[in-house]
Amino acid sequence: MGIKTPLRLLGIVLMIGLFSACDMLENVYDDPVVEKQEGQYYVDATDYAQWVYINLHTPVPTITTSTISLDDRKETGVPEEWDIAHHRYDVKTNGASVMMTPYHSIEALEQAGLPNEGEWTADEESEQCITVDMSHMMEGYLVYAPGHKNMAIGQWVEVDTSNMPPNYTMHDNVMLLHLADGTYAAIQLANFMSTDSYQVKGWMTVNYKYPIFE
Amino acid sequence: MMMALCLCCTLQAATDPADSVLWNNDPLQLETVVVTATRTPKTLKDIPVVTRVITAEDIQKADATNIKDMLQQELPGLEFTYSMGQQVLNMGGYDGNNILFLVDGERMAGESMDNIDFSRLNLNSIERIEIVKGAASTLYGSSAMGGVINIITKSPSDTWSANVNSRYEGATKEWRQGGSADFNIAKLNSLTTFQMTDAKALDLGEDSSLPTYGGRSYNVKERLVWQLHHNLSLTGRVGYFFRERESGEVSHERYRDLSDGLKMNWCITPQKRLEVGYSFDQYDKSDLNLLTHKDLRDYSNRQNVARAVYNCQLSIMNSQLTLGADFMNDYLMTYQFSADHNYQSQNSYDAFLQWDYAPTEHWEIIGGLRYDYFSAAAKGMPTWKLAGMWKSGHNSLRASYASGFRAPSLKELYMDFFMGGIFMIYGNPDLKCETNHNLSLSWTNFGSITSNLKYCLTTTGYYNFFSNYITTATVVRDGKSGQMYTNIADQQIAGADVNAQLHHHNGFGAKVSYAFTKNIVKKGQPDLTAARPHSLTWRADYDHQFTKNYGLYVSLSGRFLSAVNVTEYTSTTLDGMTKTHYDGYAIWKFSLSQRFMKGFTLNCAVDNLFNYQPKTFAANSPVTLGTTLTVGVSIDINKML
Repeated sequence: MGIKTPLRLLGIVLMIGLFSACDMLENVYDDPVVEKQEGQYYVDATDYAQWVYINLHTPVPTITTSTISLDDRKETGVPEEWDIAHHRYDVKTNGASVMMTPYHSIEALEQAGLPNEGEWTADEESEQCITVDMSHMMEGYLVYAPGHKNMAIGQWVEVDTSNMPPNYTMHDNVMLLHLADGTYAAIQLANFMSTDSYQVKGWMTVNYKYPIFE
Repeated sequence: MMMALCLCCTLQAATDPADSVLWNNDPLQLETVVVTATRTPKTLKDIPVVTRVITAEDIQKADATNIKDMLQQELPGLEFTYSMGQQVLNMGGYDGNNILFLVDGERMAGESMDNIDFSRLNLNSIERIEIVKGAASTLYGSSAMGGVINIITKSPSDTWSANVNSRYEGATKEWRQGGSADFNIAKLNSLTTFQMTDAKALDLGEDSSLPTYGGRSYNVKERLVWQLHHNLSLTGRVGYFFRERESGEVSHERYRDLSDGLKMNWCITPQKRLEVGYSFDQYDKSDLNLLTHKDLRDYSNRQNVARAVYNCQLSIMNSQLTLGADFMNDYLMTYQFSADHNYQSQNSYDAFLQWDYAPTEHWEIIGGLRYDYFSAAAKGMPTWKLAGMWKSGHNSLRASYASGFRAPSLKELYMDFFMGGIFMIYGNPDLKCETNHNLSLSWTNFGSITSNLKYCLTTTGYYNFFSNYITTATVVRDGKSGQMYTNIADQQIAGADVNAQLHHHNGFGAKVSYAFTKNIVKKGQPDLTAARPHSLTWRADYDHQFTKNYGLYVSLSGRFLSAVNVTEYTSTTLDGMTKTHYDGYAIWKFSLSQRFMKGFTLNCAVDNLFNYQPKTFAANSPVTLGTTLTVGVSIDINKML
């Protein structure tokens, strides 16, 4: 046997190298495209130093972002009219009280009707209401800002930090809000991560209905 | 003429265990052919670099599902622990990214927490596992600093073979199913192997800070060998791996791997051999979001390697020359790079040379030289080694110096990641390679205590000078604190291994292995490794074939790891440290393996026999809830027919 056969084989082996740039598994995955839905909004609430305000009274919810200064922890850019505001997984209301219903869709709540029993929770005020600066965590401290937030709505994302990485649990119960002007609104968390491949936590996809139970 | 030298080895029973044919031949496995330490086949007794072997028999008797179980039982000085829910390894004071894992001499792509995915390494159709401790970069390049672990697949069988196996483990309720089939058609041999696993999470209780997860996996591989001529063969292989980790109610993590390769082996003359090969490995990570039911990929590491190795026996000076060259393209797409440029790649080239010279029957000297070049840093890295062996009668002495290195990974060079929404982690394109210089000295003595009792004893001492260790340290950018990969601290790692083994003609055997590891750091610097200073593995066993249709193997084995204080930085401004104490522990195991009718094997094992439970579960604690029972069945179909 001469040198021809091995040289042919060598050629085959090296030819295979030409397929090298392939992504062999690209068809296995889904595309991170999410269909836009009626009665749903998607906001970036990842930044710790802001509140994302939602006004449900307009035909399409109006979204305004404020800024919290890390120097004096004062907030600027708060809109005149708003109903709820997001900060990461927390939510504050504009003088509303909230009931966490046992329903897992807004339609189910509508069919059941306005509940006559149940606990209504108002926002709670505190000096260390929200974390505004996490960058010093490795040095042992965080920076907080005073404010108020609603603990009933806050149940919709539970973070267990006893282990690393933390364990997340989401509750998609519909939250019923009794707004300050006497009307009712319903919100429900559909997802707390971004819909792209990064799945960044703090992007809130929320189903809403306003007004409900007119 | 038998050069009766003994190296570290484990008890092996071939087809008829413990009968007089084996006893007269090779009860302590001296004739096992190994390849890793010199990239040339040599018998275990003749190899000038200390090599440890785990044979197919050992794997069958341990009935281990994966590499982790197998290595922990056989080798002291090795510990698998958890970091962020991923399996990480420490061997002899070195982290997992400084231990090079190879499958049939080829690297694996992908990492989590700087360790490869160990669950990819299943033990179906494995001929043997070769472990070479110390630096081996002159033959294998980057990452071969603390050692090389090479998992070698079975060679094609002469006729055919087929196996199915199944195993159930009580603590994690893990089911393992596997099988293999090997057959020949004309000049073609096909080997197919398959394994799947399914396990639940261990419930460590509320006080545990160690997360445990259930999950499932499957793994399928095919290899075709075409023997064109008696001295020319072409081997093709392809394999696919999938694992899903149930890490919570919101999303599951998925890991996939596809690898393939083609190589040509040509024996130009009986003294000249050439191997040319190409291989590809792609390891992806994705998340299955349970809310949207979408499986989105966020990590993909693809490695293309072309290589050639030429071996030549020189008629002058009774020596052997090995020449090799490799090219690798390494591509990484990851969520840890910046969103507008989420992929990076680099090319690396290397050439190496090894000269193996045996001037007399008592002496052998090996010298090696290699140069690696990495395009990302546009830097080259030379390494070299010198090893010598003297053997006479029942003694042999081995001494070696070798340098090793690990080139910074693409991740360490280019990371741009906002970790947990808390702080940034930056890569560092100016990183230098981690390097080490390894010195080792080993003495082996073997012989017979009585006419029925053979023994083998090996003692090895080693010393490593380790420089430019890469880790993350605090930097301030744009007024905020973040972390950046940096070369820090030099350290030295000293260690010793002692292995003693006995085998009696009637089938009794015993083996004890001890390892000592010490990290020597400058005064004021913390000892950042978590290596246990003292560790032991031991086994006493008995193997006997009573009749043609019934044979028995029983063993009592265990491992001990001494207490350790792990120093951790409390903050990455490197000025606060805490010490976490981990107790020493010993875990015993009892195994019973019964062979029926030539092909049917029933395995039972009771692990953690004396029900050791750690007081708390933290990163370096053994993950055990107490005694567990494992039952397995293996059927060699060809032996039954």
